[in-house]
Amino acid sequence: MAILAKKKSAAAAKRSASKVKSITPVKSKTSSQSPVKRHAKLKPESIRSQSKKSNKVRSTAVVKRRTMAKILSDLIDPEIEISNRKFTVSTTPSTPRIDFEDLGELPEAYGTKKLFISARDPYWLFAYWDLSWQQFHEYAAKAHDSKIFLKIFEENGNEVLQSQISDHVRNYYYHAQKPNLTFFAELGFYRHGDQHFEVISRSGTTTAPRDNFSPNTFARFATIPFEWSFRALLELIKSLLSENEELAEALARLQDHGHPFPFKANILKGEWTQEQEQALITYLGEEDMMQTIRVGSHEVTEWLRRRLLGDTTSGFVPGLLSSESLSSWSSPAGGYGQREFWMNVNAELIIYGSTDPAAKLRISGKDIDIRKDGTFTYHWSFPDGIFHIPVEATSPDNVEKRGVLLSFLRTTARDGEVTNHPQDPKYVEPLGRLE
Amino acid sequence: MTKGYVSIVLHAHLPFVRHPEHEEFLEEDWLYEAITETYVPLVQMMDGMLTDGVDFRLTMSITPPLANMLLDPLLQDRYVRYVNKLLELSWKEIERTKHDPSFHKLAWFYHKRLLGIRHVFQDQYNRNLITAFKKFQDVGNLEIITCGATHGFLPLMQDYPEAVRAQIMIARDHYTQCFGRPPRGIWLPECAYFPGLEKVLQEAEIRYFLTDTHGVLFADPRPRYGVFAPIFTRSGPAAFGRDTESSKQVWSSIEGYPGDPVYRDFYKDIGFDLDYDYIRPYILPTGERKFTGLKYYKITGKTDHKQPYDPDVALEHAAMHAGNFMHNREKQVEHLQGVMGAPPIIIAPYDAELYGHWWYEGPEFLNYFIRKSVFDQSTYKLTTPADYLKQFDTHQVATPSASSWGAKGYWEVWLDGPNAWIYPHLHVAAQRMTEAACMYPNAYGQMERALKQLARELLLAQSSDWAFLMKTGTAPHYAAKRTKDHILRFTKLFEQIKYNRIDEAFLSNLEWRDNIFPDINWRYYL
Repeated sequence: MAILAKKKSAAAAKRSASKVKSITPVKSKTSSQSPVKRHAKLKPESIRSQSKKSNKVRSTAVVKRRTMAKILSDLIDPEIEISNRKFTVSTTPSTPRIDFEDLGELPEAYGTKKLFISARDPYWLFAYWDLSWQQFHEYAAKAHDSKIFLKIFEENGNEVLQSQISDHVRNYYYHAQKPNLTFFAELGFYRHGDQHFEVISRSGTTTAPRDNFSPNTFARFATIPFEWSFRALLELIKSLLSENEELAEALARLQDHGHPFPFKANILKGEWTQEQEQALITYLGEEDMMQTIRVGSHEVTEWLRRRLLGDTTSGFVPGLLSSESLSSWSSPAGGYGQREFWMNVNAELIIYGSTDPAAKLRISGKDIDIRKDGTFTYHWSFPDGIFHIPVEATSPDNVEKRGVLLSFLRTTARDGEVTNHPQDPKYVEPLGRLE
Repeated sequence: MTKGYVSIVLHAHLPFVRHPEHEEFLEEDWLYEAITETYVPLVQMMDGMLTDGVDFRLTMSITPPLANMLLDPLLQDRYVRYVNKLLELSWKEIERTKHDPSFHKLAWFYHKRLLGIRHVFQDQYNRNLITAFKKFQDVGNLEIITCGATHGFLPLMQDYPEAVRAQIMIARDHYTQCFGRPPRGIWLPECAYFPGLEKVLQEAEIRYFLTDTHGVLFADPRPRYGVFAPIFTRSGPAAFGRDTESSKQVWSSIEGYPGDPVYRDFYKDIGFDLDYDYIRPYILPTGERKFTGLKYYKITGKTDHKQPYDPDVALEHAAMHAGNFMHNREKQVEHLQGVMGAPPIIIAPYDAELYGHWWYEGPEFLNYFIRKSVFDQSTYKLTTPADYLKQFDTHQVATPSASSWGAKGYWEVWLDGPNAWIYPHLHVAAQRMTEAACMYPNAYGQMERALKQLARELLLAQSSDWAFLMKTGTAPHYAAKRTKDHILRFTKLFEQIKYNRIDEAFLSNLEWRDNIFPDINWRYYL
């Protein structure tokens, strides 16, 4: 989805909100000042059916109405000319009646005791738990120290985290920094007496995604003719499937062994050389690629938006990215289970210094411009991670080199909902990340 | 001689925004703006190519929420009202600008363009753009692919396989209703893949999907040809990886095209710039200003003094950029073919709405690029992933890496401080949906209607757009309200189903508000 941003002033948003609050379910036909009055002739069918004139009105509505299903069936019916299709106003009678508009608030918790864990990326795990306040304190009362803990384990049972949780926090971000590893979590407490860890809930497993090429270079090929359905192919080989083997794997194995098929299987015999492999990686530009893949299309879209924004001087622009760009009926007072209080934090990294203006300067292997007065600056975003950044200057006569190796660590532990403050996308993270 | 293939893939998606309870609703403009600036221009582009005998190949996802909205009579009506109002404004603009030649020319430009758009929408396709896209597919030039039923973020549903399956199968069914045949490919919502998803795609007979670059590049075993050939997943569906070079060519901060100073400035819009009393009838009923789509300035540069937009000059630059893009693809294909010893495929996926809505000249760029590719070079052929798989049916078997096309490449956009609160609610609802379906597997009549509506509310709550909007801060309150509303509607209806006490007025009200997927098969949750 493209970002279809809207600009509204905070004052206008408040006006909208107050309008929303004025909208209440229609209690009688005579609510003349209600925003719904101008549409009073258009009530939903369900409501009409309860009115005195319901039968007559409803039958008219049914005759006039074309359901979406009918429209769809017409659409694929070649007998019906497109030009003959007529669409009426709505699938059900249009109405401004705002019944069932306010259904209350979402619960703080459902009390299912579920513990959920998911790798959010190769380095971070996210966990939440669904314990009500009452459940939390009931379990805490059973603990010898009145404490509840979240534990995270590697798949082999190796414990990597034990963290006490409080009754007002319901999720946790853990910087595991272990791509391609599988984890699970437990919620529990150390009970009275034997102080054994009693598990309240255990999560499923989650595997952190890979952040680099697979070391496994064994290539196996399969022929899957496009005109054959998967169902037909499965039928063809179902008696030959090994345990836990999937369709493409079985086809690759069978085709490799010369099993006859009613279609031509093209076994690739050509060798793939080290030179070809290296040439492709060079083409992709390994370092460049590692940077690029961290920039998704959404980020590119955001970048474009900001770039255009930076190029304009329209006075309304600054509000565009702010949370003031409210919808026409959003309530700035919240009321969605969300409080107005917020916190955004982020970090950037600036390396600066000075040297001979005619020297050559490289930071993280990248040539950096030196100003006429010999000073230089380089600016990055600074996400979580460990970064080693070499800074190296070569004298103008190419005889002498001097340098430093700067190392930085950033980790983030959140207490409550704290968001990454938006950053200018032109600042990328430094090369030299050591995960 | 053909040395490789290039496949342009456009992802056309908007969340389901339809508010019959309000006469006008700001967020519905997302659809109207996209129809005006992206979807109709794309239809005009493809119709033009058919007329001129250009045998093009283009792939486009039309997501189920978007298809539902394009088929919705209420939104179709409201769009006609929207475009008529714009035409009225453009007519007034012709009068207002008569003493200013540059702006007067532009006022006429917009007026004629809007007349053309209304003609395409209302007269040529009878308000139903799905028939237009279906036509291009039926003649073999356009490959339409599906998406998740409501663009739900599938990796964070993994614990609820019925919910994942329903997102895919309901999308497949709706696609079949719309286009008269089942889909062959899918744009996974947010290109978000997790290992194991291919099993559901196999069941749906979906032959291919797309991932971001690292989804294929970091596959296991390592793909021999990088992202320049598809891989077959264990279950059979093929994965195509995004080419970064062609993405950068379009959007790079150094060489990207849309920032050219002669292109139209997105933000200078008369809805904000003109006298309030004059513009008042064309902004929101509440009196708040909004974008009208009539914009008179070019990007110009970093200056306070924007220059008038000249569509003819912008068109020349779009042609020039298309030529540059084609030339770079030729060089890329030639080089890769030399390295690989086999014809590469370059997959270039983009948000469709970036073409036209954000980058006003984008559809013209595409038009020129496709025509030039067909007539002005022979190094590569335009193709679709389906055509490519028909032609080349032997590929490496590997499992893609979990990945998405969001910032940083994984789940962070949809799972972070501003939006993590939604998942306990979505997960409980997914579990309850299956619970309710299992309670009444043979439901009919009112109970079946209730179960259908229950599924609609769950699906609408699952839309990844809400989490995205909360994260980016674009419309966070609306997004939060939509999530909350659908979960609350779901919960209230679930309680009624559980105790077999359906409130007819409530059910009818929900059917009237949230009418997506009229024929939804709720039994996928069993």
